[in-house]
Amino acid sequence: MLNIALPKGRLGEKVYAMFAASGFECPEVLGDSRKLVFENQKNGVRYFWVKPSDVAVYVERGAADIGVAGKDIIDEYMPDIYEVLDLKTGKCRMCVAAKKDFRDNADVTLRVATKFSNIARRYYASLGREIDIIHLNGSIELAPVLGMSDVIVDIVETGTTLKENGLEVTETIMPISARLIANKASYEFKRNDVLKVIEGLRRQVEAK
Amino acid sequence: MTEKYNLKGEEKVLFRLRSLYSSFGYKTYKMSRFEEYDLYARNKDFLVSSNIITFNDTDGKLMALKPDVTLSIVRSIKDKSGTVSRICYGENVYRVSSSSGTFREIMQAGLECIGDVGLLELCEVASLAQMSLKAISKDSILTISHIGIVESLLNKIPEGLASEAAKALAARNVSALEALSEANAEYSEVLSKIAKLATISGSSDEVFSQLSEMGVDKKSLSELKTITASLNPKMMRIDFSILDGMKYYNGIVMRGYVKGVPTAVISGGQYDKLMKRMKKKSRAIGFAVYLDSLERLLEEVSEYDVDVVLRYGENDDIASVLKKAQKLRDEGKSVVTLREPAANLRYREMIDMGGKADA
Repeated sequence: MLNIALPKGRLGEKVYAMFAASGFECPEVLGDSRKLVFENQKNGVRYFWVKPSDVAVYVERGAADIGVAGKDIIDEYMPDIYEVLDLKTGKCRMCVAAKKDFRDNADVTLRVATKFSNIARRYYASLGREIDIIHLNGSIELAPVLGMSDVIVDIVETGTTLKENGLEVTETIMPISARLIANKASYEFKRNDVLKVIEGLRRQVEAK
Repeated sequence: MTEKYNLKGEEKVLFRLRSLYSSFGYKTYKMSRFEEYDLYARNKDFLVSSNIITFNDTDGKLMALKPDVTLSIVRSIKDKSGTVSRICYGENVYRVSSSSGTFREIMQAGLECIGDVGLLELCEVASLAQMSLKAISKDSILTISHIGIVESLLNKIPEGLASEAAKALAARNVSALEALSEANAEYSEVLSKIAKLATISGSSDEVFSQLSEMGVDKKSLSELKTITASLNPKMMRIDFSILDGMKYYNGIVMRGYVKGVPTAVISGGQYDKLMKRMKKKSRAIGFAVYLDSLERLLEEVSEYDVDVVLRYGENDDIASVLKKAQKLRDEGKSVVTLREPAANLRYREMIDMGGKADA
């Protein structure tokens, strides 16, 4: 039995469709039930929905053998897992954004508001820039609007939220997409099952 | 013999490992818990985490609670050509846990084989790693790689690109390697070979002929072939994703997994590079077994807390209560004497001494 952690929400549903099309369906998953765990004995799969930012934890600790997590989550938490396939869905960018009239003064410490502290820290360290991290859990766009931070580091999909708040992207740190991740021990002990899923999903990705 | 004592799972494993290692002539090495901080400061990238508990000794010298055993052993070994020192240990080390971010005391066992280490010693240590896994669980796998093979490909591309490729290989991230290969046309041949390494597994002749067609380092390849041939093929896999520690490992590197534990329980390899950095001429190979990660796997849940509760009261003669309890213990039972057992105490039987004061 292969345990699969899916991220709750739109991305998870999209990804489940890819699993189903690869022959790992479990129709109950999409139902309205309050159940947490869905099993299809015939296919040998067990799915569960978890908070997107928790998928990597479930996989790293072996509660899930494989899972789907955004590249943003993987780079932020750096879990000890294998990142076996780019699913090329849920695409967006990790960006630096600032108010339209913002002019960067390299002479002062840059105040950066973000949910992704580690990514921001690494990015600015690679530039050799001194920063002050302001860790927030949501509504990041508010920080520069109120003058609490100079810039934000956040995920940008369409840029609409930024525009509505008078912000614009100043730099792109990296592209983001959903990744299939695998637990290292499961990769050895359930190797055939894991490889079958990777192969099936790879065909789905290539067919797109 | 050890099983009859009331030992925890990891302690039993430690005993088994010790007798396994001593049957191969390994001598136990007992170390102080402290070491001069300087040793770790100079070799920080050898350590799993760079956080170390430090304190000043009475003479003002900065000391550290050992975060690692290998460095201390390497330092204490004198170069002597023509000999091989075989040393094993079971020690506590002090490291930051990656999940909690705080210091933890971690029980670690392992061995180091230092000196004129040749192919025979490499084979022996690799199979000792496999036997160590077997001492823990029936269901285990040793994964093995050779740094020389991976390096012979990584050395063909510029440094920045190589470190990106190494990171992707360590995560078995074929997608990233394919993307790198597309973006760097002039190195696409080497990069697609590295992508191939990310999916290679098994130990059959086919894998080795695939590898030799890829033009990887021949000496490393033949070494890996000899070593893997000496292992139990059912419990072994070639795995080129083992890459951390490329600064001190040079030859084979190993990881051991047991079913039921989500992370590697064995980690090690041949570390001549570290020896050179520590100004030693000898070659060396070793591995560590992380016993703390086995705690859950080996946990034995017993049905009862104690065999017998001997209930006594104010009117009982103390000497006869103690005597009765000892008699039961001599029969091999565990006994607690209590006036009244706690509600959640699980016991097999209760014996009342009958001396309770009238209620």
